[in-house]
Amino acid sequence: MNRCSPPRIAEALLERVLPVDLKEPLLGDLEEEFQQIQFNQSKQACQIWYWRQALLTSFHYFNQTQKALIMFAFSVLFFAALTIFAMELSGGTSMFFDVPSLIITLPPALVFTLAVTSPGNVKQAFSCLFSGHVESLKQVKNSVMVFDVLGTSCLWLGALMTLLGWVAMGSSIEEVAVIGPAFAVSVLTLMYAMGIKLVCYVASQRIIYLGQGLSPHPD
Amino acid sequence: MGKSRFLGEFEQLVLLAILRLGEQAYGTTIRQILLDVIQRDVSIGALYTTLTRLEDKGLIRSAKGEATAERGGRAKKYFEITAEGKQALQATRQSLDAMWRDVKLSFVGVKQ
Repeated sequence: MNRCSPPRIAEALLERVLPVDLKEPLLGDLEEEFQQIQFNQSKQACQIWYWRQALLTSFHYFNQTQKALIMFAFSVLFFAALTIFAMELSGGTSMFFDVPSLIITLPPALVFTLAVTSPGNVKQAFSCLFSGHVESLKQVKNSVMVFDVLGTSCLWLGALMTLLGWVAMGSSIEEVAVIGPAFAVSVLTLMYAMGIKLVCYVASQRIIYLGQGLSPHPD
Repeated sequence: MGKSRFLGEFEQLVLLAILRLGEQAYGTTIRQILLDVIQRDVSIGALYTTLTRLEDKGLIRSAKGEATAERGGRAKKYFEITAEGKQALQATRQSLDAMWRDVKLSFVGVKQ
């Protein structure tokens, strides 16, 4: 009889949600039972059984292990909601959206961050932030550096691009009709950069908080 | 018995399952015995939440077991009831027996 493996996505979900000390026994128990029920149930029924167990178990542990992710997502959403509210009060949100302004700040800042740190460090920084778990002071230091470089690069790029816009406006100052929209777009670049810098600041402070109490000389 | 030692219904069932299984008490077997004996199909997550709570209360202890191929090479976690756990179980049983004494289900509208 050809036995199948548990659904990989469900397993990955559990790997993500379960507390570290329960991953091995709980995933082992599930796999053992999954193998046993294959003797008297169809492949599809076994997959459904595993998915049901994975979802119910994730529900039990999500709040316990993903509190950091929930709180960070909530704070970012709260910040976004307040910003959109302020935009609405200022006369509508449409004038605040300009994709090129975002493109000339975030992607170059990300490239700078990858160049200064490393792809591994960037991945680890986001992983620490979303899992709420840091293992060593070195990890804290590297992750904080990632968010510092990302936020500061973004801010300087935003300022630089805004100045660039002003230079362009200055060179065509006689065309009064285009000065207004051009000025708005140039300031928008700085506004996006400041928003990203703010989120990066919160992220780095969160990592520092998570690292409190870690020993400088782990065994 | 202090308030912290009061056992909930599911905690009692899990402790009894561990007692019945002896040295073979781990997640899969506990889940299986609950299903076989009282037809209660609990999720593995709910079971481990209760096991963790009982361990935190000092009513059970755990030990890492062997890893097998059918478990994807993952080790088992065996559970054993402590003396404190046995006392808590006994005290809960005595409390329930005392409350059930002289009670007939017809008093509360249940046909016998």
